[in-house]
Amino acid sequence: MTGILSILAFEPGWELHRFVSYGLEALSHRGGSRRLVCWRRSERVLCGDLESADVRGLAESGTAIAAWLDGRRFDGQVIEGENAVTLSDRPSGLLSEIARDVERALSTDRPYAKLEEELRAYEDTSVPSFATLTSGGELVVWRTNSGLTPLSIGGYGFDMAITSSETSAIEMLDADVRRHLMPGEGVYMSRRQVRLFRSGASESGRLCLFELLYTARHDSTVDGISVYEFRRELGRRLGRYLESPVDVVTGVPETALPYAVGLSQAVGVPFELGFVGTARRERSMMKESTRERLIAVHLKLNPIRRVFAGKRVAVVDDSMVTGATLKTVAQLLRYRVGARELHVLLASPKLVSSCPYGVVGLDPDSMISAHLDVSQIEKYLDVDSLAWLREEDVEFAARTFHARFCGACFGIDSLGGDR
Amino acid sequence: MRVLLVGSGAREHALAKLIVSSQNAVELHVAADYVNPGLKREAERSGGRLFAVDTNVPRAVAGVAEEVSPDLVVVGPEEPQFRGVADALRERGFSVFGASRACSEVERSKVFGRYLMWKHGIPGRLHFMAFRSLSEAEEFVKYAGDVVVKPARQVGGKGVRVIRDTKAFLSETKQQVKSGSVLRTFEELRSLAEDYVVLVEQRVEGVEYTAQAITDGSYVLPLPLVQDYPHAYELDLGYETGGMGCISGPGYLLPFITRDEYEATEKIVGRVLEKLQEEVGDRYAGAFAGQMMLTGLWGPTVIEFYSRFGDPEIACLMPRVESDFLELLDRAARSALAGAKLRVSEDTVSVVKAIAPAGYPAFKKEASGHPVVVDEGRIRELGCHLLYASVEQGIDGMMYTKGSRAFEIVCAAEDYERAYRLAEAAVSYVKSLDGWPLYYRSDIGSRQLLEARRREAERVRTVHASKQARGTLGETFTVWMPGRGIVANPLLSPLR
Repeated sequence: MTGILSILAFEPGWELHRFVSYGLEALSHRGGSRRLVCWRRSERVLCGDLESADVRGLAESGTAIAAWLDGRRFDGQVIEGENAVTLSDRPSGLLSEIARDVERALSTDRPYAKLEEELRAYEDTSVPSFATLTSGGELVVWRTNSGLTPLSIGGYGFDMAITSSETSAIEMLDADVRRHLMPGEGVYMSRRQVRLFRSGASESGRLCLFELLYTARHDSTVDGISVYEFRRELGRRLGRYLESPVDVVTGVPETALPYAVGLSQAVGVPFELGFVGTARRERSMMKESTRERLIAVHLKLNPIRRVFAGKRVAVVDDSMVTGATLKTVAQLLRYRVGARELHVLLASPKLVSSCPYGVVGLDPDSMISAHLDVSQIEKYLDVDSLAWLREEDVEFAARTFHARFCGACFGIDSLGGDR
Repeated sequence: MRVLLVGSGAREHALAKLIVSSQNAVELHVAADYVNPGLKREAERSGGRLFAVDTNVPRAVAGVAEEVSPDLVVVGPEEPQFRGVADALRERGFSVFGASRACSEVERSKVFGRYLMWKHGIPGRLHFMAFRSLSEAEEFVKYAGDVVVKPARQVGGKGVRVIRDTKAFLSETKQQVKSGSVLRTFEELRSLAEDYVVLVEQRVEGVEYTAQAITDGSYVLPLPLVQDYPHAYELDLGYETGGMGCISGPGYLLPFITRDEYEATEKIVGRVLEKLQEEVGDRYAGAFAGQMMLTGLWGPTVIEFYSRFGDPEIACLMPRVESDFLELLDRAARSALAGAKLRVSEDTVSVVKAIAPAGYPAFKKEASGHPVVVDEGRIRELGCHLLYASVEQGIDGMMYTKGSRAFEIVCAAEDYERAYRLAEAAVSYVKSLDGWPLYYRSDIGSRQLLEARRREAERVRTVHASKQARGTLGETFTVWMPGRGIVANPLLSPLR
């Protein structure tokens, strides 16, 4: 799963290339390895890698859609139709069919009404959110009925409308976030009209729990929920599972830091920064091979020795897949630094199955908690205790923040729901 | 009483409805640029008629007045005021409600309005620079930062570019856009070369609202506040328009403006009217409005002035006015406004939605000439009003769009939820007959939008309170340059 971005300039003269470039940069944490951008030129839609895109062509186009492509299977993420190109936030076998239906709806008199009708057929949870750009300069952005991944709309003065997978990109582009598209909602935009439309019932829509746990940036707002506050709240709930006294609370950078802040506030033990990274920030969980993942982990984890030496330490992380990160942390702290005790707390339930919707690309064979019991994992990690949040904790957070989640990879069908 | 109303759009239709609802018997005549079906009907029902003339030509309007011989002339729009229509009528002895050419300078020249505020130290003033010469403007804009670029003259609310420039990594492209905008404004306003052409002003953020008033020159009668929505599309997206709708109430306030803020606003309006008349040496008899913004910088802050009622702002007040509005207009025209009171329905609020053909405002030609039809009976059944704006009756008797906002729907109720629902129901009775899409903003009057404005108002109030406590209202500190000190000119970029 990756980030998608679309920009419509109502007024001429904007260098969209720069906006696309910085917008995608603000979505880079969502994964993907290649930046694709599409714009229109003499009644056609052209696409290309951002590095080699036609800067002047983009400025003259006035509209653009862009996405990070997943290196493995980008063919299911980009559909080049007759008069339009569609980009989605994850590969899907259904995308070509959707793209065709969207193009058909756009060729009618009242495209937004027709879109509502056509897209109603895609209640299926595996349908991705997408953005379509036509050769006539129309944009369609739709958040799938089932919701899973977020989309927001922003505005820049009287000049631009921007849609983005995350609010971070809208804010980084100096624009204001105006609304979160809820499940089943879409927007049709051109220089002649802007229409919000709704296709299907959003009551059945659910947000991927991983979005708030791991994927989104701390500074984003997802469906009206502050990502940072949500994480801190789950961290507070971790306080119930810390059974031994500790001297210091720390988190595995960077995603786990708000959880550690929450735990620290809940148990009244100081939070300390524990690690400094080398080279640029990498999302280790999204790496392809074991080697790449370990390289990313090893690069981001040089410990601040004085924080841990001789101390009883609570280490917080958002989740555990193979356990490789926590294994690295435990070895560093126990043997290289000399921490006295290590208590690991995970701010999510146990990961037990693959994502049936293709949103989170995790292999169940690699999920340690699906194969070993707690004492085995404790022994493997070489830690004194190990605890996960439970379903009831996430349910509590879901209700606190008025959210509905899909937790299929945690073995939970649905969470929350008092929207 | 015989009244001549000058003007062609929805503002004049709202005024016509207010005028004919007077307790006095009224015979209403209208001088309009085209046959607006709504105005024509209001006039004919009262026993008057609609005269199609060029309302920007003083002699033409005076000719109508001489034919009608009215007891009162009401000049609605700004452009006839700029051209001296009110003056020509007064010279011929007519009693006129509407700013003279000299007084309407406060709207026509955005430079003059700002100059007045700075000269007299009136609070709520923004930093600005105005240019007559293209080369000077181009040179200045190279160094400009977080600013708004505007035509220095009122041109139907068009051409305003708000270029927020707070990210250095996007600053170069923004500088290019500012330069392009300066160049375009000079090209479009070339005929006014002797005058200021471009205004570069400090950009501020906050919640906009309009404060309207009626005055006879010495007495100022404030009207309830209105919030209008300039963006063309839902969620405050897209082009600046003349206004896609508005809300007003309850009472004189808006749900996100406090009594103190209202009073501070009235003070600004009062002082500007006083100083304006001193400066131009003429009596102001007519409507006046401040397009305001509640900002962290000043609290109530002036964005611009109108020398007339706002459109659609007056439509928002139309269903809430309980007094005899014609009497107020008449007394203002006769310098007898002292002691007058305006009663408005305290417990109702109103929601106005404009309906425009797709293509407005950027592609007006495409948006013109489409046949439209309205089921007015159903709108009346809902208790709402329909105002005719940029629609014209063709020789075939059908109504055609003229490229701008075609209609305004006006609904009032005891709360926003009800007024919103009524307005949403009412807009569905306006239809295009050739399949050309019409659009309106369904978010105006909604709970979500009101909430968003309330949050924004709270944010700027916090900034304002902290600036007030530190005694730095109105001041901005752009950048500290080693060796040169603090640059306090908010028009300059810290980068250039």
